[in-house]
Amino acid sequence: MNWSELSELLPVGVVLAAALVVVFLDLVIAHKDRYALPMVALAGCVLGLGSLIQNYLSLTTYYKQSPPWFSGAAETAAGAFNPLILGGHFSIDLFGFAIAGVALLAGALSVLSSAHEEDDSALSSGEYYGLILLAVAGMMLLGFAHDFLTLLVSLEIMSISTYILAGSRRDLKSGEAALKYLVLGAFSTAFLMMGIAFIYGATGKLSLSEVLIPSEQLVSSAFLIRGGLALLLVGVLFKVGAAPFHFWIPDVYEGAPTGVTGLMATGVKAAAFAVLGRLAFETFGPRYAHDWAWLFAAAAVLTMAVGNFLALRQENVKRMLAYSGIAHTGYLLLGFLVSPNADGIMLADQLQNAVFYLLAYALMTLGAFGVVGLVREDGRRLERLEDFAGLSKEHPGLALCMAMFMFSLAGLPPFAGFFAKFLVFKSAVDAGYVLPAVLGVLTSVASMAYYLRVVRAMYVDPVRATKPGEAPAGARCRYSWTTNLLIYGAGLATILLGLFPSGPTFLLR
Amino acid sequence: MVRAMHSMLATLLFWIVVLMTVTAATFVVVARNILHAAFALAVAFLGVAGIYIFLHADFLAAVQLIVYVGGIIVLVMFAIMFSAHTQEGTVEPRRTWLALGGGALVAGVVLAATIMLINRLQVPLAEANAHADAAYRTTASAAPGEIALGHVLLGEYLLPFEVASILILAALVGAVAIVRKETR
Amino acid sequence: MLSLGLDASAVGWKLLPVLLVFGAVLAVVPLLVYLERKVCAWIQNRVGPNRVGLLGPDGLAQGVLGFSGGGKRILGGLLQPLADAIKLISKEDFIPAQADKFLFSLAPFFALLPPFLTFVVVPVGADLTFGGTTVPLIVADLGVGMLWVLSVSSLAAYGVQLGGWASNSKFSLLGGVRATAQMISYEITMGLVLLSVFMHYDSLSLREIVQAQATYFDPLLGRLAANGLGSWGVWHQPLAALLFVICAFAENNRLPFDMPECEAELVGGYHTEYSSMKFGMFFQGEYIAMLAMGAVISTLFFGGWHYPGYASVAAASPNLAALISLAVLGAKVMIFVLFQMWVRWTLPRFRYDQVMELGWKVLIPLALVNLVVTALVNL
Repeated sequence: MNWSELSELLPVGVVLAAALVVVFLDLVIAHKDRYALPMVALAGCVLGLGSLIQNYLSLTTYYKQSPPWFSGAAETAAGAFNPLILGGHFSIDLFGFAIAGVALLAGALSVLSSAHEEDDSALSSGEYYGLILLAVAGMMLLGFAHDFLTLLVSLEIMSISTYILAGSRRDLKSGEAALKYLVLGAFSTAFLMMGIAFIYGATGKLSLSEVLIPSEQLVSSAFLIRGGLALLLVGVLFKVGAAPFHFWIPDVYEGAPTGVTGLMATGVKAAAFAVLGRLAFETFGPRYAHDWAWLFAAAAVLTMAVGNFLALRQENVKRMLAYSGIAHTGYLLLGFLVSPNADGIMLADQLQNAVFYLLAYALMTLGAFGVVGLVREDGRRLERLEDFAGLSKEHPGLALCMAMFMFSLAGLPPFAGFFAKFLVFKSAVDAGYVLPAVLGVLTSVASMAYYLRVVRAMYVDPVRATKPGEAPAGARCRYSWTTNLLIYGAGLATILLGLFPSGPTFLLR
Repeated sequence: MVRAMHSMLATLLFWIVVLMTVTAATFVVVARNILHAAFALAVAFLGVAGIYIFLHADFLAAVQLIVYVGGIIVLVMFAIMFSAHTQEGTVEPRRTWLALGGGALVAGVVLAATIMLINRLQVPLAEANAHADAAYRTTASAAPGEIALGHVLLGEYLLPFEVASILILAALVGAVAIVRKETR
Repeated sequence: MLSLGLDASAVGWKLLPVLLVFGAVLAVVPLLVYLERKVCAWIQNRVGPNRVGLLGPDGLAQGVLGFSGGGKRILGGLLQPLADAIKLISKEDFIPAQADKFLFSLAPFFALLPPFLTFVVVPVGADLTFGGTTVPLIVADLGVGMLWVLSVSSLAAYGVQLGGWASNSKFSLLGGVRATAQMISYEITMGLVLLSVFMHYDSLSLREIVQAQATYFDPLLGRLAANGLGSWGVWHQPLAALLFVICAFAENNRLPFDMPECEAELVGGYHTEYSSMKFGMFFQGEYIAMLAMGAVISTLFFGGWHYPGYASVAAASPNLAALISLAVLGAKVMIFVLFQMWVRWTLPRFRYDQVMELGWKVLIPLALVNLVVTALVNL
């Protein structure tokens, strides 16, 4: 093993170091200086992002070409870019870079949206920010992980941190969220592990790209491998929150602190999709597309239907966003349907589209959760739809951003969500899965109903009649410059990504 | 003849251990008293350690005993003892036919797959056993399992091994975050 | 053995160390009970049990045969353990009404069994030879010997914990909870200590550890010399030896670490509600654990069964050397048992927070330092 390759994981190291610094800083600083903690955490994410970009640039200059999208697409010629490092445990390909980038972004924005929570001391402690950073480190490792062992360990780093984060608000709902997340998460990990054990037992291999290479063994233990893969897929679909394994999402998203919900909805989802993507593109690949793609397609259709139709009935905005997250998982799954006769270029294109979707979804969802986190009254969080009534008059800027996020989530041009959906539907059609794509468009149209309800509440519905003794309606939102930064930044990015969808891909060239 | 008796005795012992493990594991699920369930889990882990010994994985067996039987379950019981209502610590599970059927289905599928695994591995497993047995008999001391394991863990798999320490760090920070008193 | 039809094969001879070790342990335990009471009496300047003996005014001979054997009490009190045993057996085996009957009855076995199991990996003597068959005096030479010691000593927590819980009494419960916390805490130090010992000897097998202590590098001679004293582990790992001895006290719940029993506050701790032979099993378990810890300490740090001059005796007669080695280990174990008794009757009890503080803030850091230093030295 070449230990100098460890430098490729420097971004993870930076985030880990920041996590330790935050935890220890909390011990030594005075209570009134606690506002420094989120700043350190933020700096950790930004430095990690810088280190990631630096790594990418130095790799590109060294090999005079950009890394391949995934290790399977790498050229095998001597001297060509070999993304597999450290004995094949990690793969530093573009997919990994993209997932790590989304994870860092989600972590940074989640820190920004939590920074105003100084009234909840558990949420302003060093442990809270340390756990966010640890979760981000786990997501980054998951993005690069290339064998089942590293994959499982990284997944658990991320999961354990988020279990605890979900319960960090210390009230009944938050505790319920943490417990449900823990029990069901542990359950899904058990499925995942059992699947890995079956596959390892059948093939004796752990590398994601090698387990399904055709061999005599593979034929003789086909049943076993199928069982293992089925368990594996159950575990992964559980983690991404696809139907029929989506039941935990609404309760967990609703109960967890809003900043954590944002992290779970974006970073955790992106990292779980990293596993799914590696399974789809590296483990199964076009060779086995016939065997498993119908399963993905069925799960995608079911997820889209369940998510969208249940979201229609929600009165709580946070719950609505949770169901909308399920629906978006369905759209994303469409991006991972591989055609049996796809070549490397096509697969890379597909992966690129899925990553674009993840990025766009992360921005608009974190922005929307940021707005939800700000709306409150007398320190009480307001999450119901009717609580948003008249927001456009009191906080026109926030309302405008929220409206943009809703339009973007619904998939209306010219926002990022439109192009994201367009790209994944296109890759599904290109891969030959027309019916799921059509169903995706239809459910997407139906989804406008509930996204527009939020917009109507903010702009059209009359302001609630204030009872005597109630706080004046104008004081409904807290002011927090960090969260405002997050919201306006995400809003701007949503428009820019929509107007220049090739922007991020341009950067990667 | 002695050898034959020896192996017969070993087989008998193996089935006793297996029966104990499975019975205890079943009891974990059906026990109404939570401390009984925890104790049954300890017995099940003990049985698993026994199975490891039959597989000549002595090191794994010892670790199983130290970590699971002697550590985790003891702490689980410790936690149960600290929570009130020790005698009323019974649960009344809701058992519906759907849940039972679903559980049975999942268990059946997993069982079938496991049987397939064992069936497929029978030949190499027997070979491996014979090999390990031979090594065991000639050296009279244990197979070098723990040495090989150490080399693999600190060689080829050092990185995942170290990443696991980050996992433990996360759990540690999380434990502090959970028990931490509100500062205001 | 021969009657089992197994003849003198290796399998048959395997039973010899089993019978030897477990028989010796069982035979010695009643003696230890007597010894403890006598030692306690000497330290407290009392006479101790001196009535139930063989000869003398109130000896067994007079009671049964009417033969007094003169007015002097000879070895009076020697039969006290027998009287204790009769008392224990004939008492009512009482189970409290609200107790968890199953676990209440099971717990004493968990107190008795683990210390027995420790002896499995302890080499009690040099190899015996019978007509060409070599019989190693060890029940099972597991490659993971030291881990075995650690794992069975962690099992001992169950007896105390289950017993304390199942009695449904607040004294028992408190005793059980204290014992669990204490044992878990000191097991960590014990594990770290064993790790550095393992690093030093480069083996987990107790048998190989004893062999390693048979020779040492003599700087004057400039070569390996056979000597039973200079190569003792205690000279190489003094801190480890000290820490291990302290942990052994804590693991056995002996004074000054007898928080779980603590007569003054908890009546009897986890065995408050136990009577008759169930109590007797807890009682015996404690003495067997003392023996086991003595055996492990002598094996790891004091040369095990090795003694100076073993090589020359073995050259003359291997079997004689082996028999002497048995006696040597027995003597070493007895010294440590007496040491434990001595400590018990001279030191006061810790407060509970002091026990925890000592374990977590002193012993574990020391063990870690020892581990790092050992690692650096062996680099």
